[in-house]
Amino acid sequence: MRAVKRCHICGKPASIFLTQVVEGKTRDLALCEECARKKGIFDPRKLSLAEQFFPTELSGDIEQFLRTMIEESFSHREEEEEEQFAEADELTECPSCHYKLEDFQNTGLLGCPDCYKAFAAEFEDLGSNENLADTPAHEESEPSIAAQREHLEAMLKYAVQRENYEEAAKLRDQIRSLSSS
Amino acid sequence: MRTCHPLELCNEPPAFIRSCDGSILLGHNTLMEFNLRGHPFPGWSEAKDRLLVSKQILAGLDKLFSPDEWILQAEMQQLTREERTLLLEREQITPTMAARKDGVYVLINRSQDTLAFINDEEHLMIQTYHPGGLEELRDARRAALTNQRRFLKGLPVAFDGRIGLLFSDPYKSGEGIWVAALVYLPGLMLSYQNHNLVDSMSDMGILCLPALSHTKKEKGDLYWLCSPTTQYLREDADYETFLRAIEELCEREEEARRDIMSADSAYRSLLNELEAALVTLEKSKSLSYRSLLHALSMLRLGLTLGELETDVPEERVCQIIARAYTQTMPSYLQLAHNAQTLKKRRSLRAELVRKLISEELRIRIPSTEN
Repeated sequence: MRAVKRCHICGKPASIFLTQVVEGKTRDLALCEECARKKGIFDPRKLSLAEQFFPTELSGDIEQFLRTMIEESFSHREEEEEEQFAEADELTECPSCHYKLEDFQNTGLLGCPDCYKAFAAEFEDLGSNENLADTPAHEESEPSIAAQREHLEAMLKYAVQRENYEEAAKLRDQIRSLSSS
Repeated sequence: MRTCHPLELCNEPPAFIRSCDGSILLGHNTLMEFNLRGHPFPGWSEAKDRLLVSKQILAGLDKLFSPDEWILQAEMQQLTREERTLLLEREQITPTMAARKDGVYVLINRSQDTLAFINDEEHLMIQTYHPGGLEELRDARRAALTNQRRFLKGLPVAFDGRIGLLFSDPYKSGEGIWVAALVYLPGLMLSYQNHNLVDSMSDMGILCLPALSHTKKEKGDLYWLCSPTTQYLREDADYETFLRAIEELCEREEEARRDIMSADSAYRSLLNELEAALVTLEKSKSLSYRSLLHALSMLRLGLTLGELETDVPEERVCQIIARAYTQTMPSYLQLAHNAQTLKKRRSLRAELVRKLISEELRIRIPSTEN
């Protein structure tokens, strides 16, 4: 029959178990629900109350283990805080439509075209699109020769893929005439 | 605001229903979306923003299309609930669109093959139906790219040189073109392969939706298959996958039809289905829309396989069947015939169909000598 683990504080059957492995050595702490609650273990914020956690009845090993655990917890929290501060340096609201980055993270939708610039870091993985017809009229009144050639080349690639060689030949000629002009 | 009563649209069936012959691939829809620069996307905008956008887009569309192009141009809130249901049943708006109100416009052209939506999910969405088979579908994306140029030149479109066209959902951004193919699959349905169909399409990332149905239940063996959301550099590859899936599906449907005709038991089941469909269409005194769609599907299959005959020319057959589809829709019966109860609609539907099929189509089962 499996032995019931007892709470290290009061000796009642334990229901909360903490395990840490340091230099190949496993250290365990067992607590009953009541003691854990008393020590604030259900609320991670109270882990900072180190004094509460190191009562005299705990053995030295366990005391050390808890110290380590709390130190780690603190260092992790500091890292998180640093990250938060770093994020605060970037834009969290679109200056054009006042849409918040948080709303985007919750809904997956953006507020206006300018949000793409405001939250640019979120869209770094969006690659370029070589198949767009050409740059819209508002960007350039007439597509540049480079843009026209790029477009024709994309069409040529598509025609070849489709084995439409007649169309491909026409496109090839258009590209040649564009290059010579 | 130029507008007609939505009921006037019913003089003509929507373009996709007009192309319903016995072919497997009946046609395709191309969908293009755009947003204007300097305006919030519709999902985040206020009423005044939507008004500004709609004015700008309507002015832009006036330059791109002839002034009398649109037979219906209406703001959603101008339409009654019944009128919206009518457009929904004719697949001219989506259920989400039907629920929208201020600042959302729907425009339908005279031949009902081009629809424009303003301030729906994006500022402008243009949907165009093209009848035709695989050849047309192969060229669909390139044709759409060419057509897109008109809009890019005519409207101040939100665009980023790196990302492409900008949308409220960044994972839609890129080319902004989607293609949906309309397929008729009675063979696969009769051989109970419909679940495999949806699964295999989903595995390829292709969305499979029953046509003429706003529930998951299929009606009349018509399906829309949508190309995956296109983005970044994957458009060519995605479209190729989509084309391959449609080709494969057409082959599987042909195979299913051949199997039905060659296997004795399947062939007998088919004949029973055809006979039942004919009786339903010619003799019913009360008819649900779902039963009607199934019977019409069987009728089309029977005529295609030569198991049913008529002296009416093929083009006229398509017209009559299209009328049977559209003039028996629940909302049409409600609006045009004031049939407010289910019982009344079913009996009226049966009566209309009896006239169309018995008197105009005069279908018969060919006599067999053996």
